[in-house]
Amino acid sequence: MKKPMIFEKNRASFEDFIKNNKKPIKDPNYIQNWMTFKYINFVFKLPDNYLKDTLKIEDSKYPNLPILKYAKDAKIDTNIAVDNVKSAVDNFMKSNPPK
Amino acid sequence: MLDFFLSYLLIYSYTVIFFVTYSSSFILPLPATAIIVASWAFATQWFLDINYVLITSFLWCLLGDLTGYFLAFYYGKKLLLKIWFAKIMNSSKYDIIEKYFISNSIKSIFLTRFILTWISQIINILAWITKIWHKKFLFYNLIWEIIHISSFVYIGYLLWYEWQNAVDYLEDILIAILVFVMLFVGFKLVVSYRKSV
Repeated sequence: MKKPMIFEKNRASFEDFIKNNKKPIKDPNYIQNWMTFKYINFVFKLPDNYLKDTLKIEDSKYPNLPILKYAKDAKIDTNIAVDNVKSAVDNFMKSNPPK
Repeated sequence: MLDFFLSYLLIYSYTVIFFVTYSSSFILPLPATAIIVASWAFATQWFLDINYVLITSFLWCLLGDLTGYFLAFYYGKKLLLKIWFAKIMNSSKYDIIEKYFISNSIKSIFLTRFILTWISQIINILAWITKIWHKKFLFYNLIWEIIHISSFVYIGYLLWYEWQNAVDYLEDILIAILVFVMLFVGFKLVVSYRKSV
């Protein structure tokens, strides 16, 4: 369904405004246990299956899967799961520095 | 509880905004303020659509208030009299509360739309019981909801990815404000009661 023109104009001007005023997120410490892998992939611009392959996630709900749920299913401590995600993101950022 | 709603906000986005804002305005004490700030932080990060966040957060907050108000209008007093409030409503202390609310109706509507959102349901019921004129309630409700949503939109944008630290503080600040307001209102009620006696 095509969005009304006013919405598109509104969004385009808002996007320009944000681009000019906000810097992208680069710090993996932003990651929290409630975040989903889809959101983390989006924020840190990771390839869709990077975290899935790195952390060997087998849940079919990936990437719409919160770290909390992943930790519970994998039977690991939530803090350890968050740290694993942070270090995976950190490794990716080091090997693919944002332009 | 907030973590649970934030996870679901990322998965079901606008449905969760609808559920939390509508229910918290209407009947359930859910963390609507934190969800609105988070939605706007996600919108400024492009994860959610700015237009849909704006429409859902504003519209459902407003509709939740109106639902609560009109349900109180039709069923409020009957229900309150049927359950445990009959004694209170027939006591002299109730008259003092009623008078206090009538003379501070705009402030009360403002406080519960803007800061103390989890007690807004009580104000919806009081608004009808104390016979606050419909147009007055609807007008001030609309004004305060616009201020409420716009300020949290701005906070969400301003805080960018530091919003989650702020939300933790925000909850503490809101609890402190709630305690302060309750003590203040309690003190005023005691003073009015002593004067009337």
